[in-house]
Amino acid sequence: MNRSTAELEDQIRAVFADQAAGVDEVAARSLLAHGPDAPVTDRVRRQPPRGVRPLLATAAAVAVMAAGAVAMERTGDGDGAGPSNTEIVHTGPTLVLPGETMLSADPLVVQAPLGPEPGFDTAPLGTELRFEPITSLDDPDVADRLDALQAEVADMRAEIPEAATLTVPKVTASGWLDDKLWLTTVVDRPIPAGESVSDLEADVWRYSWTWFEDGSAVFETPAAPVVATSLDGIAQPTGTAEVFGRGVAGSFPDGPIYVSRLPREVAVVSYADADQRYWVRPRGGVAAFPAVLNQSETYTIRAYAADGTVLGEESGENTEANAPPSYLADPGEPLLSVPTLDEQGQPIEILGKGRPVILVYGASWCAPCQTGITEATAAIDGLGDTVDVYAVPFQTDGTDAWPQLDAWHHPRIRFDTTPVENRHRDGVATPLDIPGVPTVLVVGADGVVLGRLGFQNLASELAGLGLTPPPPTMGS
Amino acid sequence: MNRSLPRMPGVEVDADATGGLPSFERFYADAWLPAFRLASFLTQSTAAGEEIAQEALLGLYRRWESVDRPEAYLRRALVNRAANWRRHETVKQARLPLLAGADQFDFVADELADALAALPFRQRAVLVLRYQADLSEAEIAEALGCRPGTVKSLASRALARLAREIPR
Repeated sequence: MNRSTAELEDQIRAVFADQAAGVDEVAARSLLAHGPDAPVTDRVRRQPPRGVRPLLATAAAVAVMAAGAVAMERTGDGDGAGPSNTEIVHTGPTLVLPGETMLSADPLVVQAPLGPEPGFDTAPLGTELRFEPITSLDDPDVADRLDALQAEVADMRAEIPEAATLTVPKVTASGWLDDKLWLTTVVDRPIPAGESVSDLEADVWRYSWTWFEDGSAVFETPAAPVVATSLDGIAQPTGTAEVFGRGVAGSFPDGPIYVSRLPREVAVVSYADADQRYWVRPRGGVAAFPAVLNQSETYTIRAYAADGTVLGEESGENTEANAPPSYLADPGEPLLSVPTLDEQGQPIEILGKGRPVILVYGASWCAPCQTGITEATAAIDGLGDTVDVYAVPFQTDGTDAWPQLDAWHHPRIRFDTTPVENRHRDGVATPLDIPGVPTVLVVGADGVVLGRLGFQNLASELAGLGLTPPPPTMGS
Repeated sequence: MNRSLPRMPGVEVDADATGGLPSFERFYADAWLPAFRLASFLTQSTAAGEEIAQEALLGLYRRWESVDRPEAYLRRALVNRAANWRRHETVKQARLPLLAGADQFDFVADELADALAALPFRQRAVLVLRYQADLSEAEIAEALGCRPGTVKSLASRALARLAREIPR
């Protein structure tokens, strides 16, 4: 015998009514405990703000707004009210890429060569770049979300063992396939015209956009070219696949599918939760898997071949247990490889030579990297041949050349690692939890990360990790 | 710009006598209890509900001048925070014995309440927003950040599950 839905609804209402009475009692006690006469805003104000970075946020927002203003002037649009993007935000025709400006109505026509960097995919002039509709999460306010997100990240940092990778919610993905640039964006709130989704938390959001009334966006990466990268921090293959594009049309009714084209035959690629929102990792895999755990009860992952053929599909409960295994790596687990890239963006193997390895992460735009390098190289030099030393420079953009840093050129430091372009940055730095530059990553001969050091007191810090200068040899 | 007046469930808030925007104090006074209720129902915990309500109101306070529809903003923030809380709590509960707070209300009082508490978060959220907060489908969709169609399907899945699990 089936009971009617109305009957069940009545029962639910009755349960809720009972519970509401209980909740209200607790609420009343709480109000009394706080003092009925206290101004209500005092209760709010007493709460300490979370550890946001207001200066950083402001600077990023200003930078983005400035970029937006330029683009608006150039294109002559962007005035008026914001897009109604409660459901769909359309990434559109206005876009600023590194190197030069490209302006057009939708579809975007390339008016200048793309990509200033060697190896960066380029598109011939006149190429149409078409953007796909994207789904907005439409949160009340991205800052509010970020507050929660930062707290979440802090919690996770506290919980996750040292050697594990940290996973932060991912908000965007982009990539190149042939001559097309693809963006996938989950925007956390309605974005009024001209307002930016900015780099409030640099560790989490590396991108900025300014959206315009027609749904178009200026895509701005203050410290990077347009990149294909993942923000999720899940350990991932590096330098293997930078391009992905749209797969089989219509497989997901509410949105496009993006296919990652790995060198392998199969690309695992698209992720859609119960609401058909999707997240993609440019280098394959699923973006922000843990981050969306709380958004949906089920997930679907599909694997596509490069021609778009569906090779397989996997669905399941959206639980932490189903997160990729790399989400919680065992502490102390030896690294199979240190993600360091050669000129072609391919990983190079530097481990397995029976010696500890020191990787010095730095950047030419980083003042402490320059002022501290003399002391650092002295400390490293003192270790002699007991270690291998590599410099891993980070570029801010295509023109910021690492070799300008003369002080870094030391006989003991090998430079066969070419500068890490920012589009590789997450793949290189995040899995190893490189907190910033300068960082001296010390990896033991067995491949276990021994420590992440700064430049200060490097010699004694290295000694603390067991790396001491070799005893003097006869005749020296 | 006209700001629509707050419309938390069961709350009527008037604009200031001057016709200006409702003050945050005013809004807070009226919105706190419904926020407490909603967050408590979503988390099935009055302790978490109070904390989440307070945090969400704090977030709203920081952006009071720029938020056009505070009630919708607040609801969405409550749902998001409750969802986050739930995820962390699931992890915590797996590791720690459950300790009941001294000033906690026990949500699980009978079979149906138990089944409601066991629903997946979004399914429970839809039922709470619909039958407890008496929100419209559009408002629920907004609070959950999904389409109205999804609200329907979540609700029907939730009801079907309850009907299956609860004997007449």
